[in-house]
Amino acid sequence: MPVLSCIFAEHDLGMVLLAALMCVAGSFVTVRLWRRTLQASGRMRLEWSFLTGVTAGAAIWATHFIAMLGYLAPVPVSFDAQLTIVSIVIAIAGTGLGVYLSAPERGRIAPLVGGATIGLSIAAMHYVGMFAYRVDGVVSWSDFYIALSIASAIGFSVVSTALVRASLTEKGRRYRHLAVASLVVAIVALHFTAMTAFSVSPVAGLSSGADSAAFQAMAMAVAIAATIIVFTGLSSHVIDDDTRAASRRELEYIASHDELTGLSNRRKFAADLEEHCRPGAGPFHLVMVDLDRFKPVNDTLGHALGDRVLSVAAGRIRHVIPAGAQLARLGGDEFAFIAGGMSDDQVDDLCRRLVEVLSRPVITQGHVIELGASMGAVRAFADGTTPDELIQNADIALYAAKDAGRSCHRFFEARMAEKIQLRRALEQDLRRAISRDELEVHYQPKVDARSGAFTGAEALVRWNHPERGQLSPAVFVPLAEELGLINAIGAWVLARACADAATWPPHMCVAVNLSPVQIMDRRLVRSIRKILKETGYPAERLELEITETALLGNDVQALATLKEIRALGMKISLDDFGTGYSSLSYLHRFPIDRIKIDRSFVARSPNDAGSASIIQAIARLGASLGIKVTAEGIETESQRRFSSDEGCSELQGYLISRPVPHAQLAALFAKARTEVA
Amino acid sequence: MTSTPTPAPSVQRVLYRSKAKRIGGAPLAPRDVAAIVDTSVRNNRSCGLSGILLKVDDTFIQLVEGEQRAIEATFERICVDERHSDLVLIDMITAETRLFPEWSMAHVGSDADPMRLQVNRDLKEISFTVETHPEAALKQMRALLR
Ligand SMILES: Cc1cc2nc3c(=O)[nH]c(=O)nc-3n(C[C@H](O)[C@H](O)[C@H](O)COP(=O)(O)O)c2cc1C
Repeated sequence: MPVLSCIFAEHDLGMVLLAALMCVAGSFVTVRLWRRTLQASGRMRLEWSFLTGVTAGAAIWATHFIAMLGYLAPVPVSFDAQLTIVSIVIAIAGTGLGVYLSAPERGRIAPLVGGATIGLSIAAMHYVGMFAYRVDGVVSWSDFYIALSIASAIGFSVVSTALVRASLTEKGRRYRHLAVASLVVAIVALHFTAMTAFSVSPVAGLSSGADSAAFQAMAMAVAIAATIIVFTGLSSHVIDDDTRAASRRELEYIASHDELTGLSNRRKFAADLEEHCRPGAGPFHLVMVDLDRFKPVNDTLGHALGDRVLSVAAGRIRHVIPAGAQLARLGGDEFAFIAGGMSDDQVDDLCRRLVEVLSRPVITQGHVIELGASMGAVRAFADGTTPDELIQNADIALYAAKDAGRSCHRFFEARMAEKIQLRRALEQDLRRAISRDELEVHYQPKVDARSGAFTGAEALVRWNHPERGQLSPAVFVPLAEELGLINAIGAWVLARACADAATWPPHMCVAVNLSPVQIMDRRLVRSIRKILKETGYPAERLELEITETALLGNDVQALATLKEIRALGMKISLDDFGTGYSSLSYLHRFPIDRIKIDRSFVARSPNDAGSASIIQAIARLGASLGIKVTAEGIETESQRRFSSDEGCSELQGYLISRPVPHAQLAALFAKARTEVA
Repeated sequence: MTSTPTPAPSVQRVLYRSKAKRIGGAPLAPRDVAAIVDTSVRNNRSCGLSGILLKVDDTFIQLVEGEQRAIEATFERICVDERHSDLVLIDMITAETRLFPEWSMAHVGSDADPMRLQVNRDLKEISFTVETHPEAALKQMRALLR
């Protein structure tokens, strides 16, 4: 093996070792930088290529130069400075270029082109270096070994390039050591094969041997300089790694935290919950917190203040819950926390304290904001085992807390879920009720108290549910209001009632109920107008029944709407009078044509003195204000007589008739007409 | 020629009452109240607040006054404090001057000492009037310290 004998017989082994060290260290750093280069793109890739080139070039050149110094030439030796520098430049520029060319993600030839460039530049560096190596002797070259050296440099460089590229994938990480090894082999093989190709024999008469002491000093100097370069390359990589890790941590923080409150965000919370639900994990509680009355704060005082209030609320929750609990803001005014190692009683107490602390006023930027919070709690794993189940059940408990009047907390109970399921089912069905023609209007006739003659009827909506049978408005109207379906249902009922009543004798009126939500709807009047036009029913024969609650909140809007309705000729009656807030001032302020005494008073009259005197009082009040009074819920003859005697002008109730379908009502009216006739 | 006086920087006053018992828990011991007063004096001095804390039987009545930001930060700390409950804000106003400039946090409490019959009576009266006539109650609080 001429190559091996070249290494061991013709070289100073100490120097060879130093060169080898240089080579391994250099290759190690080169591969690190190289990998980094391949991960970069654009201008960054160019810069990293440059740094890799400088490091690799310096290491390769130093390996070569130190080994040259270790070559035991039998003749005097000197170095040509210019060519030596050219060889350094070739090493740096060549490997830099090769690294850059090896980068493109796609294309099979990238590793070939890049690797070949690197291999060639190692070889070129070496042979240029050899021209700089001046020996006073007879030099001869073996073409075979020259060719072999270049081929092996290119071959191993290409292999190394392919391994570096492979090491970038998750699975290929382990290839990076092989890449270092094959780069080392490329450098070493080239050098010693090339040195085998080279032989020198002394010319007679000249002193022989190199100045080994001076060469050793030079070798150390070169090694130190190269080491400095290599370590500079390494440290820039380490610094870059650190900054990249830092910015990755920062990005991770941003991605997992809510900017406003600094709490975990929904994403992080989902991950935390997932973690807690892993098999073998201990029990814990999940509590959902929802701020009450936050939306109006945001709407009226602005988002900046709303944000401020949210971070104050977050701070309060954080302060009250145990330090180990994981708190997150799920979005809007919704928070949640996971608390482990607490008993149900402790969580119960914690929620109570939270409710209280969150109900205290917030003073910020000179404003006083009254907040509140509702909470729903679940026990893992009694109330659910998966994150989805737990969240869903906590939501159900939260909903129950809100339903119970807010500013309180509820633990999840199975029956809550049933209630909500029923609601959900009805919700689906109600949305389709109109289009499926499941709604129906029934009519309860009213009579004149004196003559007993029919004066008209009240329209009452029914829902013929395909599975649950007939449902009363008390069940589905609140749901319809909540779902925003009441306007559509109300309009449908009104249209049906007007169309039906158009067939009644011309002196009869139809009364239709309006929900408070409808009165708040600005489109109400337009919709009534349209219905009257389409059915041709006269406005004067339409009576709209409203409840006191409709007048409670936004009474300016309600007043405007009612005045407009009145101006169109319709009548307005106040339903269920005597039960609600019954402020007499309504009767003054609002354009009311009729009061309907609540059925509960009628039911207890005339025997119950209190109820009887209320009926008297209302009847008298109506008389003095010029407002007609209707008594509802008349069931007995004595009630009829009492109400009539006290001055009620109109009566309604089972004694007269139950609510009946329109066909039946038409028959009733027709029969009455023939009896009169 | 007289120079126009520069307007005094405005003072924010917060007046509230609360129950001197932990949320859903036990009444505070005199030791707890003393600790609260100590912290209050220390904190208020360092952020330039002044005021008075009354304890009438089981009720706290407190007035804190000072610069807006300090008031808001301190009131927030008071609001997360679980050593009192049923907190009700009575009044928040901006004024020109302080009512208790020389007190970081004065403290007057009712007790069973017969010698302090008059003070106890005043405290009771303040607690009755504070919500309906806060101005008058504040004047009376001021008088307690003379
Ligand atoms: C009734 C009551 C009144 C308080 N008044 C004040 C006060 O005027 N100033 C204050 O800094 N802390 C007051 N605190 C105490 C705060 O709630 C909180 O414990 C304290 O500011 C924390 O301060 P530290 O972090 O220095 O311990 C009061 C607490 C209670 C229960």
